[in-house]
Amino acid sequence: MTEIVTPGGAPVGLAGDVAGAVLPGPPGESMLVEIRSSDASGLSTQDMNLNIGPQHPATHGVLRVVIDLDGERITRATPVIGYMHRGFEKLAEARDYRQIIALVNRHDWLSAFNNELGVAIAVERMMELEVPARADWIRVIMAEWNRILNHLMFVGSFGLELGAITPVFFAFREREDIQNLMESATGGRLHFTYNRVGGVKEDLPRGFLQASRAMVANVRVRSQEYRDLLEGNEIFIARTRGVGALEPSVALDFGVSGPTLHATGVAEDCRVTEPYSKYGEVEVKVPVGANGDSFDRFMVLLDRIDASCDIIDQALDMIPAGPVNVKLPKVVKAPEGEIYVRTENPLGQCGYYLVSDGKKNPWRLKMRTPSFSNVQMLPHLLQGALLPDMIAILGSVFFVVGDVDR
Amino acid sequence: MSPEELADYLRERLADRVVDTSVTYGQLTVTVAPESFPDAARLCKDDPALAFDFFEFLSGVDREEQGFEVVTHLYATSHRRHITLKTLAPGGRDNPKVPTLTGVYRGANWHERETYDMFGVEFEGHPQLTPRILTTEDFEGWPLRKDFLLSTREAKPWPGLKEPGEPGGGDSDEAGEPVAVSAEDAEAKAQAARDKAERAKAKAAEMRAQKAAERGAELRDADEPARDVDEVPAPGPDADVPDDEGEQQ
Amino acid sequence: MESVFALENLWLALALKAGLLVFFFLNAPLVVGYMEHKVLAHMQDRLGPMEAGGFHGWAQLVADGIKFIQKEDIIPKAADKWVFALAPGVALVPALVILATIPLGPGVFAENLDSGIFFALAVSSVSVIGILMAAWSSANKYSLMGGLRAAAQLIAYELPLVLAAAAVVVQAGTLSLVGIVEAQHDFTAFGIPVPYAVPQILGLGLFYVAALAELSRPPFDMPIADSEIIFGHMTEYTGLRYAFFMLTEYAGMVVLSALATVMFLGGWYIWPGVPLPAGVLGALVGFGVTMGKIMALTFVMVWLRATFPRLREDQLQRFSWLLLIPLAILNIAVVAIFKVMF
Repeated sequence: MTEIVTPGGAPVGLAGDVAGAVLPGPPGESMLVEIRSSDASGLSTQDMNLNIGPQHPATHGVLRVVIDLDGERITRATPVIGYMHRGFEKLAEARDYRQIIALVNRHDWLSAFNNELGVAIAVERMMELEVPARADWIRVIMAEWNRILNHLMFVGSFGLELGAITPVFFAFREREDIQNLMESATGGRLHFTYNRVGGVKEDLPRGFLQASRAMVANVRVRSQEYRDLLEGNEIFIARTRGVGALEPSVALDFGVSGPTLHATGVAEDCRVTEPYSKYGEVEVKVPVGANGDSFDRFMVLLDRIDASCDIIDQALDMIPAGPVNVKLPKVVKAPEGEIYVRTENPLGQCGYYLVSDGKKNPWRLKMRTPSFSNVQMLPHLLQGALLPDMIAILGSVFFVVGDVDR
Repeated sequence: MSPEELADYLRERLADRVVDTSVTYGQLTVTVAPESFPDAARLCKDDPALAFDFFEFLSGVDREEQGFEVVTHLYATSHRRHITLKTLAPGGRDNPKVPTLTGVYRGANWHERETYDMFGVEFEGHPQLTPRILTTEDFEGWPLRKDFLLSTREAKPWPGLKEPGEPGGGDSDEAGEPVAVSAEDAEAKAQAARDKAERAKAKAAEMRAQKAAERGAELRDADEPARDVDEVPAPGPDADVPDDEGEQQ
Repeated sequence: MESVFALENLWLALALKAGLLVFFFLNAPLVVGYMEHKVLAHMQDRLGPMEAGGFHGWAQLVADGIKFIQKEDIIPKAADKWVFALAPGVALVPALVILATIPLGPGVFAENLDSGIFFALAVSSVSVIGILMAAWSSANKYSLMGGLRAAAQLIAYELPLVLAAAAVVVQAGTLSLVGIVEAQHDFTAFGIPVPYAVPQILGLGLFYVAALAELSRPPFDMPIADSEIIFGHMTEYTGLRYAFFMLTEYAGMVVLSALATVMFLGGWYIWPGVPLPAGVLGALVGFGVTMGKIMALTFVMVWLRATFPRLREDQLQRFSWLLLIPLAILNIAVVAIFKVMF
């Protein structure tokens, strides 16, 4: 259906002939006329320059993609990011290690717990702290619930962008139930701030584990509903199969990770290759796709929901009693040195490069966010695609703009 | 290969271009000379024994007087190994320049743009470093440098605990009390403590005089003199007067 | 058949017909719109309008109408003023005109044209111009893209619509809509009285699908795909003009469902061969039956909206040109052969 023309060897992102002419001015300026003649048949036509975003129903947040359109076919796409840059890394240098937990759960707000987990693990490894077993299992359970929350959101919104307006309501119904569950334990529906350096904030409320079990069974039933609604839908298949096919080598070169990478067939998942927390003691299934197209990315997402349900069930069986955090000194200081810790966020691999000089604030905290690398890869996929395909691709390369811009 | 063996392997291949290797927390960090930064990355990517095909990130670290350090982290999916490649950008703080990695890893493109945006490190050979990727196009300054203050602190002086980078900002000791960073700050703090003690002393004396006056009114005919203010020990700096320096919680 | 509204005084009859027509035209879309709100909501596991009007939000669309009327009239600075202002009218009026010729019951119509179906299909093509006018004059790239998509789509799906209708005309032997209903009343297949939907189930499918595409309803709503081009040709419209466009969509649903009812489902007869009571009671029963069938067809339209994502426009085009039109031609051929032989 769509042919994707890969640029022959030239670095993607911004090509060399960009100077001035195509690169956009401030949004709002009319850019109707960009004179560049197309080479076919001697007819000189004007390519239209269109701004998708920063406010647009289909970009998940304030992402702006400047595209050159030849009719309905995209000849060049340039994402412009930075509309949501909040200076997290600079702020992190001015926060101590407890305040950072509350800071980092906000860059990818749909995977808040997993972000906190990465930072907490980084500090714990530097301080060589032993986390109690119960805390680790609680972390696994919460991280997997967060993963389900995140994937449900994207399952819903992907259908919505293609025109299927019903799955999003079903997905949000599940999200409400799960968020109520998380709120009973952590106090938050979106930003949990439940991790602490050395464990979690406090123990789970009574009845949480039973409620978790019931909810897992519920989610399993519902995920079958999403499959019924979308997997066999001929129009859905026609819109997504073969659209935005990504090669594994290109994906690895860009640093693409998470469901987007798994759909290309590369089963690279930190929970399996370098298990952190208690992931080494549970069986983690990593679903992979075959072609790397939008349909595969969506199917991988649905399969990951089921895989997370399995992990939660295993964790619920194995969680012991015990303390949930360690006694910390009044001021938490990480020893001098550097460490890079990466965890498997729902959207991909989130890494924290922590440089400490022995004080109570980090010297440098670099947040390696999955969405930044995923969005960088977009121009490669969008070249040669049709405009509706661009929507399908944007919806299927899962990203959160807060993650891209930090 | 363990990290140490990996370090040896790289030293063999790159010889004197390797400035330093270190293994901390089970992770290998290799510092190379700036000119051979792309060569080292190319070796990591192409050598089948290394096969670092996954580009994690590239960023910078402000090393104050030494300049800026450019750090990149790579991962090999087949061997499940990590490596951190570092280099110190020549040109100090005024004109740091490092050759680009975009020819080796396409993913380095935006990461280098971000490092340029945040630190001002120029990457030679990069297709297009401007427009600035994360800040606005007309932004002035390099935000993640240590001499760039958070603008909120510039706009309004903060009465609470000072943050690093602010004048008077610094570290805390084990009990959570703020520890002064420089000598002038120590002097200023000591002076402030003395002033506070003075005020507390005066206030306590006033309260005692008031009470004495009340008692004196009751015992008018008792002829007992009020106690002398100077005999009362003055409250020390640790007395329970409200400390508005802010305890760290 | 004479219309029940044909009074002695011509001017009085005209006023009555026009008044009732406008009344129906303004209210039937409200009912259909309310049904869409509620049906979509319940299919999506929620409730829909519950507040406006007290009882399950029945007055929601009335409230919407009042809201639209009191909005500020905004025309973009770069827009072509007159074209922009007239476009909603050009899109809306054809639906009203077609409604004048559609029989909703025995004698319940404004005019019984001899060239009924031909007139209806010809006039329905005029609203395409309204959409193109809106798209071009909006001075907005998203509107332009929506308009171009609409132009291609609506032209492509006119053909299956017309060809499916032509098959019915061949079978009925008359272009008049009243005549088609009466022909179905007398129609039997192998001795069993059935509406034309039974022998021409393919034709009904074709007509229905083409009607969905003509109305830009999902799954053919690429011209107004709200996750891609905001709202296509209607992006820059607010207030009453926007309400006119939405009215066009819902009135179009009613009109095309009414045409499908008349042509395929037996019109106002409960079942072919079952006579209606005489006089006013018959007219009311017939009207009720027609409205019931129209509601059923619009319910299916809403159901399709809740279920399917939208087709990409090149898939849309392929679907029409490569599948629907050959099938429609085949349909006519088969119907013609059967008509001649039996």
